[in-house]
Amino acid sequence: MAQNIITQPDTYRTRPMMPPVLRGFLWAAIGFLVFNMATIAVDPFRGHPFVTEVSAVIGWAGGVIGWLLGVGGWEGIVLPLFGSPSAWVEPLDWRRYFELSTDHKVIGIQYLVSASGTFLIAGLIAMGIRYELMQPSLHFFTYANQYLTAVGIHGTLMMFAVGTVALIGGLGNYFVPLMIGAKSTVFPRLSGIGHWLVPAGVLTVIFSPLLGYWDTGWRGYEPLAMQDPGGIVYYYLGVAALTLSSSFVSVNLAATIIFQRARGVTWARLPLFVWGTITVSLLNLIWLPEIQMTFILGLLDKLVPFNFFDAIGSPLSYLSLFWLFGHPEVYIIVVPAISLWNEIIPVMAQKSLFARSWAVIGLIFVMMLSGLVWAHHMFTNMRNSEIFPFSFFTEMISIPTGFSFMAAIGTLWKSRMRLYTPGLLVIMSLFNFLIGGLTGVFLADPPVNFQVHNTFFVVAHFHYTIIGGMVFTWMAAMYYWLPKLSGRMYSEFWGKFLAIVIFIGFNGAFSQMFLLGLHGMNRWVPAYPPYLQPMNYEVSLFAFLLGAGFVGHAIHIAWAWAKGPKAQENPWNSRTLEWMTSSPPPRNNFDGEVEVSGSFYRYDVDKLPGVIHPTE
Amino acid sequence: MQIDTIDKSRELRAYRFGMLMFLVTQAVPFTVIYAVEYLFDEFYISPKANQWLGTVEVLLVLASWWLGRQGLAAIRQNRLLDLVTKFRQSLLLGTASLVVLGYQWGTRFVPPSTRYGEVYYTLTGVTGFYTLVSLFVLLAISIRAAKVKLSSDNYWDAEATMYLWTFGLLTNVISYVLLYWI
Repeated sequence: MAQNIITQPDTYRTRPMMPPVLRGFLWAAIGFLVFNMATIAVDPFRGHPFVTEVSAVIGWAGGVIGWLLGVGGWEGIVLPLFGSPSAWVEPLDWRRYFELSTDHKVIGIQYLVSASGTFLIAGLIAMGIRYELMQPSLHFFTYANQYLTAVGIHGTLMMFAVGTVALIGGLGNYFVPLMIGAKSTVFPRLSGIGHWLVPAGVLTVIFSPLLGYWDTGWRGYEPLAMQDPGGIVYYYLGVAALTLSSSFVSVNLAATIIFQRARGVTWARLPLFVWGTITVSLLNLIWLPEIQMTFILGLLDKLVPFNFFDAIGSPLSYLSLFWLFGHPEVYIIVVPAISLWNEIIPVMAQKSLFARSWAVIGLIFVMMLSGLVWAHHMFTNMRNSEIFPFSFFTEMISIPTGFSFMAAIGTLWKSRMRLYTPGLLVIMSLFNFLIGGLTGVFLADPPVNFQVHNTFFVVAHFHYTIIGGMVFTWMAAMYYWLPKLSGRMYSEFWGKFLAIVIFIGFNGAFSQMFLLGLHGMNRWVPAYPPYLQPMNYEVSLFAFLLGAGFVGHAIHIAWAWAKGPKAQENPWNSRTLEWMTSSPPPRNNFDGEVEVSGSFYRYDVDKLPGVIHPTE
Repeated sequence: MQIDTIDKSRELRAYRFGMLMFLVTQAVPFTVIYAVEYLFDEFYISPKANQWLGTVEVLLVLASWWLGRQGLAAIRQNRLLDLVTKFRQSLLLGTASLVVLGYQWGTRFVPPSTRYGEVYYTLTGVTGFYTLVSLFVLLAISIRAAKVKLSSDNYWDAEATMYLWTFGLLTNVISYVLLYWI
C-alpha cells in the first residue's frame, strides 16, 4: 500500500535558544524537583527526608524527561509529534555535537565521545581499585563498601556505557550507513535521542553513591541488592537508560541495513562490520529488554518491597534472569570487534578475505549460541545433570568464534601485511582474544570452574575478552577510520609506540591475574592474605602503565583529529564504500546514487566494486 | 518519478518493519513477567481478585482498540475528521480502562503482600504503563492528524499508532487471561 510520507518541512530557528545541553541540565533539575516533590506530597508516611528511595526514582524519571526535552527532544520530537511548528533547525557548525541530531555521522561521533569519556572515567576508577590492591589491607578506601561500589561503578560503566555503546552506537551509527551506500538511517531521531540517554545513564551510575554505597558489582546480585542502601536504585535506573539507548540504536541500524542498502549491496556482499552490527542488533533487541524487566522486578523488590528474589522468593531466579542477558552481553560487546578484524586485515594485507562466508556464518552462530551458555556462570549452584548442556554449548561456541580466527589467519597467510597502527592493534587483539577464548574453554569445564570460581582467574579471563578483544579492536578501528572521520592522519610513531605500551601494560597486568586467581586471590575483596601482595603490586604497576597508555591514545587521537596532517582520500587503498566519498563525508554521504557490482574484499581484481552515479 | 515512488514505498516498509521489530522486542519484558508469574503462582488465582472489574477493564481496552481501528479505516478512505473523532473516542475508553485499573489498585482487592498480589501489581502496572504510552500517542496523533492533514496518501502516523495500540490490546488481554483465568 503506497503512501507519500510527509516529512517535517525545514524550519528555522526564529528566536534565540539557550544552549541545549545547558537547558538539558536546567530542565533535568526542574523535572527532578517537580517529580520528587509531587511524590513527597502524596507520601502517606510523613517525616521522611526530602529525597526518599521512592521519590528518587520518580524524580529521576522527571529528570531524564527534562534532560531529553532540553537537549532538543522538545523541538525535535515532541512538537513534531503533535504537528506543531518547530523553531528547531540543526546547526552545521560545532554546536551540532551538543544537541539532538538527525545526522548519523554526528550521532556516531557523539556516541564515540561519550563512550571515550566514560572509558576514561571508569578507567580512572580502575586505577583506584588497583591502587587499593597494592596493599593487602584497606589504605585508599576507608570502608570495604566504598571499594565494592567503585568496582560496581567501574564494571557497570565499562559494560553498558563503553562496551555495548562504542562499536555499535559510535562506529555503527557513523559507518554502517556509509558502508551500505545509504544516505541516512531509517529512524535518525531514535538514534539521536538515544545518544542523550548515555550521559543520563552514566551520570546516574556515577552519582549513585549519593544514595548509599552498593556492593553487588555490575551484576546486581540478589538478595544482596535488596539489603543494600539506596545507591543500588540508581544502578538499576542508570542501566535502564543505557540499555534503552542501545535498543534504540539497534532498531534503527537493523532497519537501515535491511532497507537502505544501495543497489547491488546484496546480503552476499554485505561488509563484515555490517554483518557484525546486525547480528549484535538482534542480540540487543532480544536481551536488553529482558534485563530491563529483570531490573524493574529488582527495583520493586527494593522499593515496595516485594519478595521475588529474596529468601522467600527465588534468588537463583535472579541469577538465571541476569545471566540469560549477561552472557549474550559479552558477545554483544565482542562480535562487532571480531567482525572488524576481518574488515581491517584484508585492507592492511591488500589480500582477498579468506573464507568470507565462514566468517559471516561464525558471527551468526555465535549470536545463536550465545543464549545457550549463560548458566556456566552458575555451575557452583547447579546439579551435575544441569551443568552438562551448558558446559557443552560453552565449549561449542568456541567453534564459530574460531571461524573468525580462521578467516583472519587465512587472510594473513603468506600476505605482505602492512603493519600500520590499525593492523598492529588488530593482531594484538587476535592474540589477546585467543588467550581470553582459551581460558574460557577452561572455565567451561566444571572441575576447573569449581576451582577458580570467583577468583581473579575469572577477572583475567573476561578482561582478556573485553579489553583484549574489544578495546584493542576499537583502538584499531579508530586509527583505521580516523582519516575518514577527520580528514587527517595520525602519527605512525606515536600510534605504534602507544599500541606497544598498552599491549605490554595489558598483558603484564592481566596475565598475572590468572596466576593470582590460581593462588587463591578472590574477587570482591579489598583485603587479602599478605602472601599475594608482591604479585598484586606488580599487577597494579602494569595496570597504571595500561591506564597511561590509554590516556596517551586518547590525547594522540584528539590531536590528530584536530591538528594532524591532511590525509589522502583513501590512505589504506580500501575497497569498501565509505572510502568512495570525501573525508569527512558530506551531509548526504554521497554525491549521487551508489551502485555496487563486485566484492569489497577481492584484492585480486583492479576494478572497484562500487560506482557513484551523479544525481541529475 | 517512478524511482521516487519506489523509494517512498521502501521507506514505508522500513518504518513498518522497524515498528514491528520494536514491538516484538517489547514482548520480551512481558515474557519475563509471565515466566515469573508461572514460577511463583503457577495456575493459582486469588479468590480476592475481582473478575468483574478485570473483565470491564479489558473490554474497555478492546472497545477502545476497535474504535481506533475504525479511525484507521476512515483515513484510508480520506475521512480525516472521522479519524480524529474515532481516535479521541478510543482515547476516552482507554483512559476509562486505566481508571478502572486505578480503582482496583486503590481499593486493594488483591493484597500486595501475597505472592499473587506481587505478580498482580507488577503485571497490571507494566501493562498499565504501556497502555498509558499508547494513549499518549493516540492523543498526540489525533492532534497531529488535524494539523498536518493526514490523508489516504499519508497516514503512516495513524497506522503506527494502531500498531502500538494493538500491542497494548494484546498485553491487556494476555494479562487478563493469566491473572483471572489460568
